[in-house]
Amino acid sequence: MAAKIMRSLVRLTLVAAFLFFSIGFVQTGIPGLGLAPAQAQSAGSVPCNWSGNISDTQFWRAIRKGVTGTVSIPDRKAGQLVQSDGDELRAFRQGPMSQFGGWLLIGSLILLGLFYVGRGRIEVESGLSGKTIERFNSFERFVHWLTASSFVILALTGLNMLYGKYVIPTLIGKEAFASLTMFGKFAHDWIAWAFILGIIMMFFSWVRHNIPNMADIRWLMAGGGMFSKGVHPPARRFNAGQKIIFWVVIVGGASLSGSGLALLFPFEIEMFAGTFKIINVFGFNFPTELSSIQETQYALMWHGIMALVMIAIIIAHIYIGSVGMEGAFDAVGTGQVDINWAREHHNLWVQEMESMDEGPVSNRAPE
Amino acid sequence: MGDRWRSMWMGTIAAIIIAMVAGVVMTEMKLSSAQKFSTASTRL
Ligand code: HEM
Repeated sequence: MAAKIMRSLVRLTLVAAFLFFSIGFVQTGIPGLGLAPAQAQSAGSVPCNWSGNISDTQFWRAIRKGVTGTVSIPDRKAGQLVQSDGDELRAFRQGPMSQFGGWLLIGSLILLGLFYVGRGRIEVESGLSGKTIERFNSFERFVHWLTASSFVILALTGLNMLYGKYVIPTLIGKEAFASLTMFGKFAHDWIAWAFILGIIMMFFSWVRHNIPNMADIRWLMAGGGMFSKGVHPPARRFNAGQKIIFWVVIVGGASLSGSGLALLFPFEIEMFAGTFKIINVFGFNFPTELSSIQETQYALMWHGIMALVMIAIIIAHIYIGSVGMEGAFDAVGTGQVDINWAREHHNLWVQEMESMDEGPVSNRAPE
Repeated sequence: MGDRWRSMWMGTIAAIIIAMVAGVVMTEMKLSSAQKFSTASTRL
């Protein structure tokens, strides 16, 4: 009797299980057979038509891809539930941008090393006379170093934000790296103002000496005399190479400052949609409708790219202004350069100074 | 030697002073990132 009851119960549970799972398969389709659920999503609509003619999958896919709805609260960016451009930005920053940036910086160091091995230190060929001429007054030197010091601090703290995590935690530990980076981030945000002021003052101090002219073309054709001894193409106060550095610093510095300000004041300063509109006039097809978050993401990307390019160029500038060329540093050090150095590198400028000056150009006796 | 680096130090010290002033001003503005990114923000 008991055995009969048991058999009936087992049969009942089997039937129940069969019914239960077959309903499940109708709902979801049978795995492996590719049989689509017939009644669940016919013509793309879900049961009961609660979301119109759109299936769950389509609905969530659209949200995942960043579709923006409407909200009645003031903050309209809340109308977008998932904005995943940040994911792509991070992949780009940690991937190609870090890699190419790294190769750019290492490459420029290697090139400078090769240049040093091939050419050596560029010396004053006629020897130091001991007589000097004022190259930059104290204000110009101040402006140079205001810009230079702030740039170096910005470069170091910025590179730490991009590459620090790969190197520094292994040296000083994670906690110390976290504190260092937090401190560096504040330093970066604040010292930026000194840099901005520096490039504005530098622009006004030196722009009139940096207008391109025919002598620049001759200077460039002669490679600036940098690759062979005894070649000194004529130059006025700034040669073509220096003019390039000047304009890179002004244009690049302005671009870094602009994108940096957009990052300091996100959702307030936005400039990319407007810039893209202008660029598109030249046949490009950049997006001109950007959300606030996309604006910030473009600013971050551009700020990083510009910074890496600028740092690579400035490394070359620092090289030629210090170890690379005898007598150059004095221009921004004491402001007094050797008259022979000046005649070799800026002969037209020396002539201008001599014709303007009543007295001798040199104002310091040999030491 | 001291002369050689004087301009450099003047520029560096000025940069640090400007940074400190900027730091105070920006902190006084009290725009924490929580406020900047808040969904209650009406700034668009
Ligand atoms: C930190 C190490 C640096 C050193 C040793 C250095 C050295 C020099 C020297 C010697 C000159 C004068 C060249 C001459 O008399 O003809 C100069 C000029 C100049 N420096 Fe620097 N500099 C440094 C960093 C920077 C930085 C970071 C910037 C900008 C971001 C900068 C921007 C300029 C500009 C625009 C000029 C005028 C154009 C030129 O001479 O190339 N310098 N620098």
